[in-house]
Amino acid sequence: MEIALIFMLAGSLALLAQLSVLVAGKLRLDRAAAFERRVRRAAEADIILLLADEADEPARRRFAAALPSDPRARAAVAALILDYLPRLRGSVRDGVRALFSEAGFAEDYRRMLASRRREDRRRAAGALGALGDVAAFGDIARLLRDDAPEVRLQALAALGALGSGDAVAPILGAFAAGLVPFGPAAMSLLRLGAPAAPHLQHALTDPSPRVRALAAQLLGHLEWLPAAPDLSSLLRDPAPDVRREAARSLAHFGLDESCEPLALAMEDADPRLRAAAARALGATGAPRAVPILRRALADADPDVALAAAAALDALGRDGRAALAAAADADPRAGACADPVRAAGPGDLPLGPFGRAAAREVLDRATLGALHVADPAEVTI
Amino acid sequence: MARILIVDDDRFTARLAAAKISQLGHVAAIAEDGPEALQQVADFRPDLILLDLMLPRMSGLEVCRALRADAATRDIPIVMLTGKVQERDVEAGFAAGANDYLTKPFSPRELQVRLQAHLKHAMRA
Repeated sequence: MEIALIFMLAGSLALLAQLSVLVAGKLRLDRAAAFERRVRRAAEADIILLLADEADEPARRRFAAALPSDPRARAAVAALILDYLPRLRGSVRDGVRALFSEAGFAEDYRRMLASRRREDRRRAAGALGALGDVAAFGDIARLLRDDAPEVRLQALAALGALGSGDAVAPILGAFAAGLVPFGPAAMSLLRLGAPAAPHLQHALTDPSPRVRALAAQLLGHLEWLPAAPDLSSLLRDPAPDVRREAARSLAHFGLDESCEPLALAMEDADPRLRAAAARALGATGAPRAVPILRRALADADPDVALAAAAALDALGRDGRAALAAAADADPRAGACADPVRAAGPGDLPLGPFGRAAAREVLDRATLGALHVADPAEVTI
Repeated sequence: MARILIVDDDRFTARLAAAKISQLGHVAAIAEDGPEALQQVADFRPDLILLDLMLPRMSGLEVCRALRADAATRDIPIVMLTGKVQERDVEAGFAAGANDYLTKPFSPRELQVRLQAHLKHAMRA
C-alpha cells in the first residue's frame, strides 16, 4: 500500500515537473514575442523615415546611431527591416543592404548560420538570401546538408536568390542524395536563371538519372540552346525519365536538326517518350517531320496518336493537309484529328507546340498590324 | 505646401508615402478604403490624390469614377498606385480618369518626382 502511494506521489511530482517546464517554456516564448512586438512598434517610425530618405548614407548613419545595443532588440529591428525588403526596389533597396553590412546585421546573420538552434539557422539563411549576401554562399550551401529539413529548404531558396551558377552543383548534390525535394530544387535552380544553364548542361552526364532528368527538364525551361545536341543524345539514355525529359525540352527549342533523333525516339518502347517526341517534332516546324507524325497517328497508344495529330496541326499547312488526308483515310486518325481541329490554333499551348503554331497565327492575323512582311522577322 | 491624400489599405506603403510627402513640406492624410477616401476628399480637400487600385469595399477605379463625376472634385490630379502592371489595368485606370500611374513597389524618389511634376502642373492650371 505504502509502495503504491510512493509510486503515485512520484508520478504526480514528475507530471508536475513536466508541466512546469512546459508552462515556463510557453511563458518565455510569450515574453520574447511581446518584447519583439514592442521593439518593432518602437522602431517602425524610424525605419519608415530611413526608407523615405532612400536609406542614403546620412540616413543610415543616423539610424545606426539610434539602434538599441541589446542583441535581441537589434535582431528584432533587423527582422522588421527584412520584412519590408521585398517591397523596396532601386536605390532604397541597395541602401538597406548597405545598412545591414554597416550596422553588423549581416555579420550577425552569418554567425547565426552556425547556431545550434535550427530556427536561427533557418532565419539566417532566409535573411542572407534576401540580402543577396554572396559572402555567405559557402555557409548557406553547407546548410543543404543540415539535419533539419526546414533549414535545408530555406538554404535552397536562399541559394536561388543569390543567383550564382556555382549553386547548381551543391543543389543537385543535395537533390541526388534525397535531402531536398524535386519542386523546391527545380524552383531554386530556375530562379538562378541563365548563370545556372552551363552547370546544368554539365549535369546531363551526372551518374544519377534523377539529376540528369532534372537538368534536362530545366534546360528546356531556360531555353538553353547550346544544350540541344546533348539533349538529343539523351534521347538514348538508359533511364526512361531522362529520355522523356530530353524530348520535352527539345520541344522548347523547336530545332530542325532535332528531327532525326526525335524520329528515332518515336520507335521507343515507352509511349510517354513517343508522345513527348511527337510534340517536339511538331515544334520543329520541319516538313520532314510530317511523314513521321503521320505514321504515329496509327500508334497503338492513343495518347501518342493524339500527340501526333496535335503536332501535325502545329506544323502548319503541310501538317494540317496530312492530318486531313489521314483522317479521311482512317477513322482512327479522324478521331484524333477532330479534337485537335476543334481546339483551334489559339488554344494550342505554346511551348511544346509553340513556335510553329504561333507563327501560323501570326501569319493569318497579326502580320498586317505589325507591318511585317516576313513571319521570320517576328520573335516569338 | 500642398495637401495630398493617400488612399491605400497597405499600411507600409501609406506610411512610407506619407513620410516622404512630409519631408517634401506637404501635408499628407491617409484613407484605408474607398468610402473613407471619398469622405476624406470632402473633409481634407486634397490638391492631389495617390489612389491604390485594389481597395476594400470599393475599388480604386470606382473611387476614381466617383471623383470625376463630381464637379467639386473632377479636377483633382489622381495618381493610381498599383502592384499590377498589365496594360488592361493601366488602360482602365486612365479610362476612369486617373492622370498617372505609379507601380508598386515604388521608390520614394520616384514618388517625389511624380508628385512634383503633377503639383507643378496643377498650380499652373
